Amino acid sequence: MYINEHNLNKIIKNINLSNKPFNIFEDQILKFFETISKIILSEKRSRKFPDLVAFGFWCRRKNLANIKKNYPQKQTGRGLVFHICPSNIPLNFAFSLAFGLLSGNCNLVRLPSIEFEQVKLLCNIINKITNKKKFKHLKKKIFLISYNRSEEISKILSINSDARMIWGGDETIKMFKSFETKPRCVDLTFSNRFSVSLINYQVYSKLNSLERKIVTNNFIKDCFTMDQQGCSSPKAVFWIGNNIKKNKERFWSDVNKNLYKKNDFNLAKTNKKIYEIHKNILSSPNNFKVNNSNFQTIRLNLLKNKKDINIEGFQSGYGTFVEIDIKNIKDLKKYISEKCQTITQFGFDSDAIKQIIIKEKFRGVDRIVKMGMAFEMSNIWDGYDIINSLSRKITLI
Amino acid sequence: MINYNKIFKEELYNLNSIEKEKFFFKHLSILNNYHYRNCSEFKSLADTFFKKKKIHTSDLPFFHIKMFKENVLKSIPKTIGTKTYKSSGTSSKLHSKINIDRKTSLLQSKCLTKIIQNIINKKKLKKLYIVDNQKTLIDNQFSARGAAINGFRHLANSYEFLLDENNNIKTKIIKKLKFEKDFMIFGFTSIIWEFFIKKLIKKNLVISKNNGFLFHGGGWKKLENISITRKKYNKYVNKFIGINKIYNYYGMIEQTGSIFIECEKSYFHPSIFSDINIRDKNLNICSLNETGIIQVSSLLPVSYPGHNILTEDMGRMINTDGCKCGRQGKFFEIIGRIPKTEIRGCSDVY
Repeated sequence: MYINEHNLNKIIKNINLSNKPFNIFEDQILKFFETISKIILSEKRSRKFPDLVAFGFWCRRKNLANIKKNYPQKQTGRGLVFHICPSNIPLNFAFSLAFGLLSGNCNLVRLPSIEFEQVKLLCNIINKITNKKKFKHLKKKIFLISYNRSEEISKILSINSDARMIWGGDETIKMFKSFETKPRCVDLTFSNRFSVSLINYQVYSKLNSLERKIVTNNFIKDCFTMDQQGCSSPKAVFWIGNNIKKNKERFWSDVNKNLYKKNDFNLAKTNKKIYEIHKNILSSPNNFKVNNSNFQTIRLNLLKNKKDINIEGFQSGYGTFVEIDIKNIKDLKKYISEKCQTITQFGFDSDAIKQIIIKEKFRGVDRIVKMGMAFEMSNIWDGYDIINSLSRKITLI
Repeated sequence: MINYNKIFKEELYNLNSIEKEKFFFKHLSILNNYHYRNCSEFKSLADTFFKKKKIHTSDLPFFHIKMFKENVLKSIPKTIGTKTYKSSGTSSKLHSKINIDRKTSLLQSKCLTKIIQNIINKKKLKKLYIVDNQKTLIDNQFSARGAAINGFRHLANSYEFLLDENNNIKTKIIKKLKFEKDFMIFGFTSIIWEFFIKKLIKKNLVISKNNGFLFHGGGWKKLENISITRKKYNKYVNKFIGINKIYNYYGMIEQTGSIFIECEKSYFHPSIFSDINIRDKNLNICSLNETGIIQVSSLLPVSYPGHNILTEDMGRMINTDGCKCGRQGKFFEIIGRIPKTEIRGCSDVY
């Protein structure tokens, strides 16, 4: 649905009429996603898009039932959730919408401004399903909209919302926070974050070649699915333990060989990569040695006598990594800030890392995942429980 | 330092690619070492990102062009006064900030003069007509447009602007122009189109066939959007301005003066003052005819480290020797801006 200043009032009226909260994890909603999942996973066309397949896999009944187990109490939605999705991550809107529906809300979803084929495919699937008699009532709970960048429209949609999911970075958040909202409107803001990888050297050095291959593929999946541009893509690699250079070099050589097969580079990416590396060097001169023996993965190695450098400001993209050796997990604190979102780890127990982060009073780190799972969507994101935040618990005393 | 007096006595296009590489590597290395000693930013870049062993021009360290937009890079003591030039920056919010001292400014203007003289085959022409208004020169003498106008106006005994303050054609001068014999017209590619050719057509004014030259530069980006090709452009220049000696040039504000002239066979040529390399997605040198990122080098920038730059343009090396126009050495083609691919990421995008 395309919104402009002419149809805006009518649409708002329409939405307000159907803005009625309902139970979290309502059976009809679970069935709706089950149908979506089945269609995505059975259609040939969707196989071209790994992100679409991943969403299809995520919203299958079994997975949603697992999430449901975390919410045994009866809860109800807040009303209308306005989703402001980033324009360059095609299917972020799908997960956002799913959380809105699972938490019992009516949803106003602003689709990415760039036209992606997988977005079109999914919208068609949603339309097809909601045209069926069984799911027709969901038409009043899902409003997929687009509009040209307009503060006026954003303002009017904001004042009518009971909750807002603001993805799309610091600038977007700043702008939307300046708009008036209902006093009880809940905002979940997903600001600019960065992520890092932790590798346990002791464990890695004992792997055989097949096991190493799995680690390599998982690392590539985390870093290169989004050209290292996603908040959850690692921009730094921390080696923990007494490392031997030879093993490190073997890891990167494995990565480079695999990347070469993928051949995902182009002139625009290369140009931007050079720009960002030059920028890093000028903004932090004499702190790093650059290892660019292979252009695919350029490594900025922190010089030995330099400590306590916050890697937050470093630009990484298209295969540029800050690489730092540390003795133990605790030392990570010197290099990261509250903007650190995810640790993707290999060779550790995630819970053990979590304990250290709490004990050592880290300000960042909201997720610790096994390597290869950086983009695994979860009902807890950036430290928020999304379902609880978008719904109401009714207390009885 | 480079012995500029000696180079200015040399022919511009007489070295074959092997001789040129030998000559250029020697001189660009001298300049490279100068900037290495005098610009700390250039030194840290050279030390961290580039290999130590340098045997070809293409081994020498370069800056990404955007570094000049985000930093003030100087290779002279901070106490020495400089002028800051700004690129016209139509497509980006940020301008290049180029620190030019007297010496560099003089070199640039001398080089531009030499390159244009080579084409007009004369020391000076009687008249230069500038397709712009005088206000541009006064308001923006440190802009790319102002800098180029400044360079060109030394090439004629007198000059006149063809547009008034409101960018309308000065019709009186046009009518006089018919009788002119020894002249050239200079302007930015898109301005000549927008404010001159289109207005001539509208006013139904046609300048009769003449012996003048037309020089234009600044890029095709705006014209590409309205699908004006080089061929079409030249056809209109010919028909409405009456000129068939049309020369397009390619150059960066960071390397004012050492421009690349498009020859009669429509290929661009470096002079002895400049060099070109085309790089692939792994930053290696492209093979002939392969599209890659344009890297430009110039012997002129002394007061700032703009001698070696990776641009955001794409081009193809046609060959290292043998252009039918007669100029020796490399010749190349420009394809345009590198298209902004779908840049992925979470931030800043609603």
